[in-house]
Amino acid sequence: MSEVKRLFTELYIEVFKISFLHAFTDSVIFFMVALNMTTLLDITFYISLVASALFLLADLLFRMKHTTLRDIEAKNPQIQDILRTARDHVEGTNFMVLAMFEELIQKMKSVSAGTLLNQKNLVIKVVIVCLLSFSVVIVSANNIHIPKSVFDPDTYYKWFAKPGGERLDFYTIEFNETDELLYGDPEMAALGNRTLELHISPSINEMSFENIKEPEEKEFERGTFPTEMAAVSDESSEEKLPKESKIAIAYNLKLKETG
Amino acid sequence: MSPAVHLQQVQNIKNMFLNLKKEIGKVIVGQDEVIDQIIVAIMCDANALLESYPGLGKTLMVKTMSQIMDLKFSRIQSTPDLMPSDITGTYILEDKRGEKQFKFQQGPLFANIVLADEINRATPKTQSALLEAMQEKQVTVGNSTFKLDPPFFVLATQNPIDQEGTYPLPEAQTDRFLLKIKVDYPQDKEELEIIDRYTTQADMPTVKKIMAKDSLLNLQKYCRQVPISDDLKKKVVALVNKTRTNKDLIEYGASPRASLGIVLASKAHALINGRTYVSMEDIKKMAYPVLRHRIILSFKAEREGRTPEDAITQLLEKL
Repeated sequence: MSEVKRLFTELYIEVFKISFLHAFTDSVIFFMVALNMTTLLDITFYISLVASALFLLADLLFRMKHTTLRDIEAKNPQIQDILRTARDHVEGTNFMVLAMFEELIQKMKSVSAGTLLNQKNLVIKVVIVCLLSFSVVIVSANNIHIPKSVFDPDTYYKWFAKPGGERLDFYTIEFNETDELLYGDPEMAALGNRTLELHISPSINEMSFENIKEPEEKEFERGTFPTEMAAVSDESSEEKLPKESKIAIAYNLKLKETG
Repeated sequence: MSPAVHLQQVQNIKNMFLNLKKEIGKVIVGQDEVIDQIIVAIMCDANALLESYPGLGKTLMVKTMSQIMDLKFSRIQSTPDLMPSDITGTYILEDKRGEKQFKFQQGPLFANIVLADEINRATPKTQSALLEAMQEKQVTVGNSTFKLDPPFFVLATQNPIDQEGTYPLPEAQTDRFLLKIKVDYPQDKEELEIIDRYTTQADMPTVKKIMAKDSLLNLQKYCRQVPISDDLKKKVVALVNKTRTNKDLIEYGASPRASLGIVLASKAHALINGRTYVSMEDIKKMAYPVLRHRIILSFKAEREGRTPEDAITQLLEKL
């Protein structure tokens, strides 16, 4: 019966409209929350826009999939059971099925989209949207951002550290050599106990030429030079030495031999 | 939009049943549910087992219904010496113009509505003859088979007390009855009306014919056309399946014939009430008369004093 098929098509369109409305309000709430977060974190709002669009699509699909004729019947007791029966016999042509179609068409006149809408839920969502919009305005107008230190673990360490206690550090962990399975290779753990002294030379870029102090005068201490001086050269460097240097070396070696 | 001609006809059917019940009400006081269930059984072209104490007007009720529906009525009073041929009929030797020939003398089974009173007092052999007629809608005597005129409907009664000298119907036989209808005592108000009605008038109230035999056959056809949703069919199957799996409550569950019975009886119940489709309420209403004689309670349930109705209620709640 074409009228009943048309009725079901109209019903599915209504369900789509209502599902879209709910999904849209949900995604607006989602967007507002995301916008609040991006504003507070001082990152681009396009993230919240894309995330909200994806949320809208997912929510709409979920709602369409989970809205059944049983739900519609539950909200409209006058069409209880008849809607599902009509769906299951939509191709039927016998006397009773035709009578049922006529009864369904009559009863559907009393069913409005408002009964499917859940107006209370929608009003609550609108109120939430208003509150979130207000919060976005406040955050944006006052240029409120969450300081970066919030994300620094040291900040939270200070809150939870014991007074006078040492910060738990990887290098201070003592490994039990017997717990090989737990800690892995003990040799690796021993490596971790070594103290490294790092001397980092500042690069020229980091040097400040503004605070150059005058050189301190130091008294020259006499007699601190070594009495004997010796030098050993290797073959590779020897080749590059100038002729005078070679003579000097030979002279010094001769002096050493003679005592 | 086309005018709702089919729906109007269904409303006419509803009005006809309302008039039918009104006519029965002229003779029978109360017992609305019993009357409803008997009509359901007739609409389903099936048989029913009536269980009640004596003196509650079963015979009068069925006889009145046969008059209103323009159906041929017969009554069999079952006794231990009742023979199958007493109900099916037998060949008698007839002298016709000096020539002797056998002629089949039809028994009480050759009617539209047969009331088999106290069926559990008949011997198993006679019970079998009756049940065969119920199932096959035909009677076999000797080498001849006689078709019974439609509609054919057997209403058997049994007494829940005074079981001595009876042959209780085995489960396989009771399964052939679509419904087991329990007739309870009337309420005080109804009993007062019965007294008033039958102690002041000498004559029985007269009833008029509401339905023709052909109309009844058409209604039986429409009854099977009443649509039911797949969800409800699944619920019926789940309910019957629960009678087989809930061993704490039920020792032996119902057969698939019970599923058929619930759906068919629900269709009839919907049609009688002027609805064009089966609802969950129909199923809940019809589950009791269809299932109560098809389940055997467990020892634990019986020891706790539960009845088959309690078990069905419990299963329906979990559905």
